[in-house]
Amino acid sequence: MNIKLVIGLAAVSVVLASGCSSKPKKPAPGSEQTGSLAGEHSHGGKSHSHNGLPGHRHDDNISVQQGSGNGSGGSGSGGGFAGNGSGGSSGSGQGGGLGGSNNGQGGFNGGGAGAGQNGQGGGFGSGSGYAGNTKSSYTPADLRDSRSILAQRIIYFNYNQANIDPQYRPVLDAHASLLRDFPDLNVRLEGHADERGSREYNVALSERRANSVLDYMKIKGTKQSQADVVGYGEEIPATFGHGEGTWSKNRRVEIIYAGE
Amino acid sequence: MKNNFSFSFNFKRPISILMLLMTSLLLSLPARAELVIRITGGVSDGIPVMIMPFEGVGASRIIEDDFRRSGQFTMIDPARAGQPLRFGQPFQKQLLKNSGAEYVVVGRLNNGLEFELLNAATGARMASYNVPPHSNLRSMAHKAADAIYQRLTGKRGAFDTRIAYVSASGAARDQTYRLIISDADGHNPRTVMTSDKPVMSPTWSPDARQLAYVSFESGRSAIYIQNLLTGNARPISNAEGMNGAPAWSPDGRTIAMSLSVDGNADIYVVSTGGGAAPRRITRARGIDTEPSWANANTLIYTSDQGGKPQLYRTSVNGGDGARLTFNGSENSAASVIGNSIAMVRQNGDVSRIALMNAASKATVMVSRGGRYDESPSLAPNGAMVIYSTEERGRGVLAIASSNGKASQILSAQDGHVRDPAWSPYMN
Repeated sequence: MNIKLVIGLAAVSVVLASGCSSKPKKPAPGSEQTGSLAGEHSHGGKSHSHNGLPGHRHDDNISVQQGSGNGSGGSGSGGGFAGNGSGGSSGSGQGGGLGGSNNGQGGFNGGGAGAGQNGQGGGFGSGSGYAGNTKSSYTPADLRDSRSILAQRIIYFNYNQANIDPQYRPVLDAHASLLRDFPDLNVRLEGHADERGSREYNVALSERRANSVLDYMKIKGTKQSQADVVGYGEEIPATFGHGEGTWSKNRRVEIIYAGE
Repeated sequence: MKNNFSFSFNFKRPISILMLLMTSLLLSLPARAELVIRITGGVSDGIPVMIMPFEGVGASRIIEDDFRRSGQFTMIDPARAGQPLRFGQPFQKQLLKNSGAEYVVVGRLNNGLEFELLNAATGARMASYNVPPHSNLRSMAHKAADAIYQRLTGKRGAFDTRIAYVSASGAARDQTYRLIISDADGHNPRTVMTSDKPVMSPTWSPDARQLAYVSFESGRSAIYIQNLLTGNARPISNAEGMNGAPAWSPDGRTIAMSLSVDGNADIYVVSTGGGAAPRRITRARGIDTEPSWANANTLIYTSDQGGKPQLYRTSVNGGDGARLTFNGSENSAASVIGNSIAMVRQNGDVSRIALMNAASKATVMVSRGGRYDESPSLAPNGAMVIYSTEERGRGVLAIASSNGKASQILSAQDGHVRDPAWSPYMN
C-alpha cells in the first residue's frame, strides 16, 4: 500500500511542475574534468562562435541513460551531455559511462569561424567558457534559439564552492539582461551538489550555489521577485557514477524559465 | 571537555492499544521491495551462545541473526550440545559443558514464546521468559533476542525496533522516491509515501508513531510530520528557503532543523504543536545543519563556519557551538546516543562512518571498506549503527556493530536505498 501524499501548500510558487526531472533538452557543457569546457567545442573564446549544443542528440544520450535504469553499476553515463565534440558534426562523444552507446555526437559546431574544423577542443582560451550568440539585448524568442547564448542554462561549480567561475559571466549576463528587460519572466534556479559530503549539508551547499547565481543576476538587473531558488543537494544527479567526470556534471545550477 | 552527555531515553510507557493497532496494520500490508539481507562478518571472540531450534517455530534463526549482527556473540552450532534439548526438560550437564557454549537458549512456541537461558558450565537455569502471543512471529523472536541480550550484556536490547529509509529508482533525472519503514533487520517493509521529487532525512518521534521528513513534493523543500497509523501528513516547516535536516527532540515537543529563512542555513527549533515561531539557535555565517539531540538541552550539528564541515556542539538555548571534531578533513551528520557520536568522516574522496566517544574522544571506524558511506543512525541502545553505503554501484544499507566487528548489508532488489533512521524503542 502506498500512501500517496498530496499536500496543498499555500506558498507553492512552483512555476514548473516538471522541475528538473524530465528536461533532457537542457544543454550542458562538457565536463569540468576536461578543463571546464575544453573540448566541447573549439571556439577559442570567440563570442560569436556557435555553441556546441547537440540538439536532438542530447535526447539520444538521455534515452541511453534512462535505458540503463537505476544507475546499474557505478558507471554513470559520463558522456551523456558532454559531447566532447571535436568540432564539425563528426565529433564523437567522450565519457565512458555506458561505453559505446554514449558516442553521441559532440556538439555540432557548424560555424565558429572555422574552429570546428580543427577537431581538438582547445579549451576556452581567453574568452568565456561558453559560446553562443550574444546580443546587446534579448527577447523571449531568443530562449528558443539553440544558437543563442541563452541556450546555456547550466552553471557548474568547483567542489564545495559556490562562487561563480568567471567563464560563466557572459551566460548569466545574457539571462540577467533578458530578465531585466522582461520583468514578467520568471526563472527557477535549481542548485545541485555532487555526492560527496553529507546529504543535508549538500542541500544547503546547493542552495548557496543557486543564491550565488541569483546574487550575480541581481547585480545585473534581475529582480528578486523574478526568481525562485531551490537547493536539491545530491538528490537529483544529472548523471550517476563516481569520479570527477561525474561529479563535475552534478555540481551545478540549472536555470529554468517559467512555462518551459 | 565536561561530560554532559549522560542521557537515556525514557519511553518506557506501556504498549497502548494504538500501538497494537498500528503494528497489526503494518503486518497486514503486503511486503514490497523486501530488502535482501546478507551478513558479511561473524565474530569469533564474542560471548559463545548456542540457540537450540525452538519447538514448533523457526524463531531461533531470527534470534541467531540478531545476535550475529550485534558483534558481541559467537554462535555455537546446536549440534554440539550432543543431545536434544527441550524447554523445561532435564538434560545431560556434562555434554553441555563440553559444547563450547557459555550460554544455551532453549525455547518453544506455546501460545506465546517460552524460552530459558542455561549456563552451559554449571547446567543452571539462569532465567526463563515468556513473550506474549503476537501475530508477528518475527517481532516475538526479536523481543526474545532483546531479553537474552539484556541478560547477557546488561544493556537493553534494540532488536525489536524499526528503521525508516529512502529508496530511489529510475534514471538519474527521473527517479521515484519512496519513504519506507521496516523492521530493524529489513523485514516487513512498508512504503509510507511516494513522490517523483526527492524525499529525505526521516526522523522518528520518540514514541515511534510518527515520522518527520523533508519532501520537495511542492517544488521546494518543506518538512512534514506523518502519522504512521493514519497516514495523515501535515507540514511543520515551510519557510522561505531551505527546510532541512529535522531531528525530533527527546521529549517529542520540538523538532530541531536547518532553515535558511534568515539568509544562510542555521539551526532552529520548531514546536511540533505549531503556533510559535521557529526559535533560532545558531547564527554563524557558514552552513549549520544536521542537528542531533545529545540530550534534552544539547545539540550536535554540522557547521562549515571554520571552512570545512565539522561537528559542533551547542546549547538548545542558543549560541554558536564549540567545535567537537578535529580529525579527518570533514566530519558531518552526527547521530548521538548517550556518549556515542556516529558521524561521516571524510578524508579526500573517501567517506566512512566513525564512532566517537564524546567524553574520551576515542574513535573507532565502524564501516568497512566503503568509499561512499553516509547517513549514520545509531540504534537506541548505541550498540549498532545503520548507514548507507554502496555495492557495485547501488546504494545499500549497512548495519555495523559499535565495536566494528560485525556487519550486515541490506540491499533493495530494485534501485538504491539510503538515508536510514533507526527508530527509538518501540515501547
